[in-house]
Amino acid sequence: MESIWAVVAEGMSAAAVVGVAQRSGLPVEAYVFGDSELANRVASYGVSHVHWWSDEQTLPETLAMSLASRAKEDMPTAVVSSDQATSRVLLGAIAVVVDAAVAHGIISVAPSDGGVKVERYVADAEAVEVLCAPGPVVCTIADGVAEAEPAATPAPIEEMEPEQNGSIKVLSTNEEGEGANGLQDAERVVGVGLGVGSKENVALAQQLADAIGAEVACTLPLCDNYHWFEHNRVVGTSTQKISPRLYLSFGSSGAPQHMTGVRAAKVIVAVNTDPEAPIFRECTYGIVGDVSKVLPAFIQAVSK
Amino acid sequence: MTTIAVFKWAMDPHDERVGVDGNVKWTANKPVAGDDDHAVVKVACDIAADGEVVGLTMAGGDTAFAAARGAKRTIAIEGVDPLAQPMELAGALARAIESQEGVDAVVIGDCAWQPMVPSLVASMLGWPCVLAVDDARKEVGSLVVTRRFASGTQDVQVDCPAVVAVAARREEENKPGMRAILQARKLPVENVAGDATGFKRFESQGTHAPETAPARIFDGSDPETAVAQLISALAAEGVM
Ligand SMILES: Cc1cc2nc3c(=O)[nH]c(=O)nc-3n(C[C@H](O)[C@H](O)[C@H](O)COP(=O)(O)OP(=O)(O)OC[C@H]3O[C@@H](n4cnc5c(N)ncnc54)[C@H](O)[C@@H]3O)c2cc1C
Repeated sequence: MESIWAVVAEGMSAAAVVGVAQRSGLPVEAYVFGDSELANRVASYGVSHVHWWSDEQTLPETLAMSLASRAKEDMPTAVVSSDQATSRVLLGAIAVVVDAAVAHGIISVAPSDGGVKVERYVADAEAVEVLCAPGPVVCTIADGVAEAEPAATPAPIEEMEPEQNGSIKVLSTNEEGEGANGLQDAERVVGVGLGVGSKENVALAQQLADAIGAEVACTLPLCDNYHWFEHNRVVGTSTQKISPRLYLSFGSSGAPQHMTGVRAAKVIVAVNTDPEAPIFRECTYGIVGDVSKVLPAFIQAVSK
Repeated sequence: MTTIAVFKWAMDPHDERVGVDGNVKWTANKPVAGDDDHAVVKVACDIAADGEVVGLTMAGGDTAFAAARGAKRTIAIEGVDPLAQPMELAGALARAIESQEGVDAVVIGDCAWQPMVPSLVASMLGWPCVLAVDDARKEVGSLVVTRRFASGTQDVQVDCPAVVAVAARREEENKPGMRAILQARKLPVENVAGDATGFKRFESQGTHAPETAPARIFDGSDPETAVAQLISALAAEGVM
């Protein structure tokens, strides 16, 4: 029977990966690498079946070839995952073994006329391109796509035997690193960029964050060039991705290396003096204005 | 042993446009250096230590990028469509790598423009693969690689030969000067015919407008009114 595989190797994008898979209309076979909480969460999204490897016992990358062999037997119509590193190692092995057409950053996938149709944003999300392949296809999803909702009955979870092929082994892990500061779990984040202009305005951003129960993040130059923030407050390709419900950005241009880190936010608000700033093409709401005027007005409005 | 540093192999998506006929058009015609490429050559040099670093590129024109940063020679793959799809790009790279003797590691950018290519190259070569890498060093028969892991880092040991995809944290701090670039241009460049054939591909069926509503932009010349409008919109979204 036709199916789609949703490969989940981290929590942040799990609901989005399953969401894209579900909207294909095909039964979803979920392959989960992580803890039991992640397996239970994926099982609650209305998938057909969860195949779960505990990542305490198995380094997911070492399973790439055996997962690819399963895919060769099952021949799913499509395999989708996020662009997180472990997921891409798994997808790379599958794509080569099943001889798939490969695309990244897709927003939908569905069977079509005996083949598979996928859609993805092109030209800075100015348009959606429609692509067709004879199938199977292997794709990473775009950030910010609609997530799967919990279903009435959870799917069965099959715990898989741990395996190791030995070519990669973990020597040491610095879990906390420099990154543990609440940004990962924050519901709201106030982000500041170079346009914030002064330390006084950074203090206003912090005041706004405190008033609305938000964490503060920044763009790379505010850390690297100005040293106004620790590196663990930087959001983007070089540090971390975040997925708050609300991201309020003050004085950032919207460079791709920064936006990669915030695209999974539900709502993005941009405040920038330049109406042509790229961030206005990626936000839900914007104010064309000066942060030193908008920030005090914002603080006053939410403090009422 | 040889360590390969892959550079200038992906097109910058900011050169992508949608033409009046609705088809995707490109304003550039060749791959350019990606954000990660400078870090790629550095990590390749760290792995090679006293061994040889060989640059591998898909770009014509100036191929001295890796040589100016420590590579002893460069291989330039010719004749591959710069808009080739991930499997085709990976196939052309893997075939060029296979034709080299004694390669112990391939270092490539963990490129946001083409995020699937590094793991496809590894899988085509049948080698292990580590992505999101900061640093690497060689030990006997293996590499010790520091990669990003959740919000921290992790050191892993990976058997050689392996593919290591480096994600730069920032811009290059000390770019090579003109003298280094001129010296690098004298180092050997071998042009090889690329082969990206035999892979499944997507065919484009054109484009359509996105369904997402365009951004609502408020005029901030009256900050109080703009903020009031914004807050009521955010409240309606349930995020404020
Ligand atoms: C390998 C690499 C990795 C990188 N990783 C990251 C990363 O992880 N995270 C990251 O953030 N960056 C990263 N960068 C840097 C990135 O490319 C951009 O340079 C950076 O994000 C720009 O920061 P910015 O938006 O604060 O500054 P700018 O791009 O200078 O933008 C400032 C904006 O402020 C606006 N402005 C000015 N004055 C005001 C005012 N008074 N009120 C309102 N608006 C105003 C301007 O119109 C402008 O749009 C990376 C770069 C490289 C090469």
